[in-house]
Amino acid sequence: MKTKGETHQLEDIAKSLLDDPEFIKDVEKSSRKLTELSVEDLLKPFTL
Amino acid sequence: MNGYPFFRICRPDELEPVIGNSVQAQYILKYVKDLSCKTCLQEKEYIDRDYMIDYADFYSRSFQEFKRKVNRIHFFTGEFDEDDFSRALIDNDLKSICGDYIGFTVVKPIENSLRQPTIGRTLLSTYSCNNDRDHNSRRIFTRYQYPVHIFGNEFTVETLPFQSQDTAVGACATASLWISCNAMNKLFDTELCSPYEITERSLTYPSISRKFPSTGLDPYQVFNFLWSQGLDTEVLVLANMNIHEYDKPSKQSLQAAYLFIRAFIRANIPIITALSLKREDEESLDYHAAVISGFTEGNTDAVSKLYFHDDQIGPFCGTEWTHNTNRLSNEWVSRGWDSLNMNILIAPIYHKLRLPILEAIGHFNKMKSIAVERGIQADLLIYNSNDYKAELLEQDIVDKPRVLMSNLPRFIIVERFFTEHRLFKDVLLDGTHPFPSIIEPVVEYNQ
Repeated sequence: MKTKGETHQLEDIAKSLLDDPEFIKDVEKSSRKLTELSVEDLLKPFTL
Repeated sequence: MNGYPFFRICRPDELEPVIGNSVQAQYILKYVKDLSCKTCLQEKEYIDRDYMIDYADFYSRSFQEFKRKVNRIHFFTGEFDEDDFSRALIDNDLKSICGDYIGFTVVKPIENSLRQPTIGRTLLSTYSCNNDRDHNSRRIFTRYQYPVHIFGNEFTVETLPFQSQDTAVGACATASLWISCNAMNKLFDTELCSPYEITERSLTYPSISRKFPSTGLDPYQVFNFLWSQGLDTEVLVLANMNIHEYDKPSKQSLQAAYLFIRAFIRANIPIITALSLKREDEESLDYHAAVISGFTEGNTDAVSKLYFHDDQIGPFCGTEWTHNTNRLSNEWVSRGWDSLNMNILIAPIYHKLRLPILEAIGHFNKMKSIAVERGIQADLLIYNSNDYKAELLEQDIVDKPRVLMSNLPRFIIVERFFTEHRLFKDVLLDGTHPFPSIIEPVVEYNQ
């Protein structure tokens, strides 16, 4: 059974991560990487 | 002998002369039989909105004659004949003989390239959410309630509409957009469009192909249509679609895809997916668009089974997803293609859901790794705040009145922490803010 303290800690970590500029930069970078689609792919018609 | 010119009652096995022998027709017949269909009711002169628009915009200007009206076939679990049906209408007691209403399919008076009738708007109930073969898993579908009127009686079907492509006015991407368009209309009151209208609007982003007969939309044109609806899009690329990369997703993209699919499908938002297909002896790929309309939720984060609305197969088509790859398996593989791979996920979203889901996933992944070290599990959910509060009403949470009376943005992304036995806490991210930010209250579940 988890204590109330442990779950409070999770909430504090969640907030502190968003105050960390390095973490935010990493998240933005990996998010961009996951949406990279080549222009060539964008022009391929779905023909089936 | 049928004394009524506009309807007929028959058994599923007697439907082929009407519904035809296309892959989709065969799929639908098998599907309704799996849902225990015993009796079919054929409406012979039904006016279908989508087909009527396509008829007015396209078919009415052909030299060849096309019918304006369609066949609509309803499916019931009850067993009855025409005399039973007529008596029940007189007694206003139709529901006593019909059993469960499974839904309907429209058969258009348009033939596909194999001279089979084209399947139009189809609303069929989903499989049960409980999986009889595996009690640890549960099926999650995107579905909405639709009222259906039959001779003054109202029936209801909970589903996501389906139709197959009518090659002249649109190919697979048009059919996928039509399915998505129906979902968005239910969720965000966006405009409903017929297949012809979808193709025409998508093609305001030009390409070198002919507009009509349609040869297929490209991803730019898919985005163009969705944006023209006032929607925005969330995109996740599992693997690029060229011959060298199509089957090589990164571990990160696969993990993100599991979360992406789980979050959007549970939020009742269907996902359009770009698929690549390859034959063993060929060095090129074919491209196809379909809609993810459900998945099976098990004990792990990975998703091993998806349900597709694939216009070339049928609604809620079970599709196996090979672990740690983007490789899928369904009817396509038995039709001569050796591989079917999932490359791009496109979720249409309301423009006020401004927080990019992949940034929320980035924050969530870090939180999850910390939680797991402490023996706590985590999940990521997208909510409309009204639905979220409705769920909380049923829960035992700390300071319930304060939580329920708090102001929340229209959309929230919930990081949920729990163990096998109970929920712990929901951390809420403001879905309407352009970057991740936590909003009060943090929702704590009573122990």
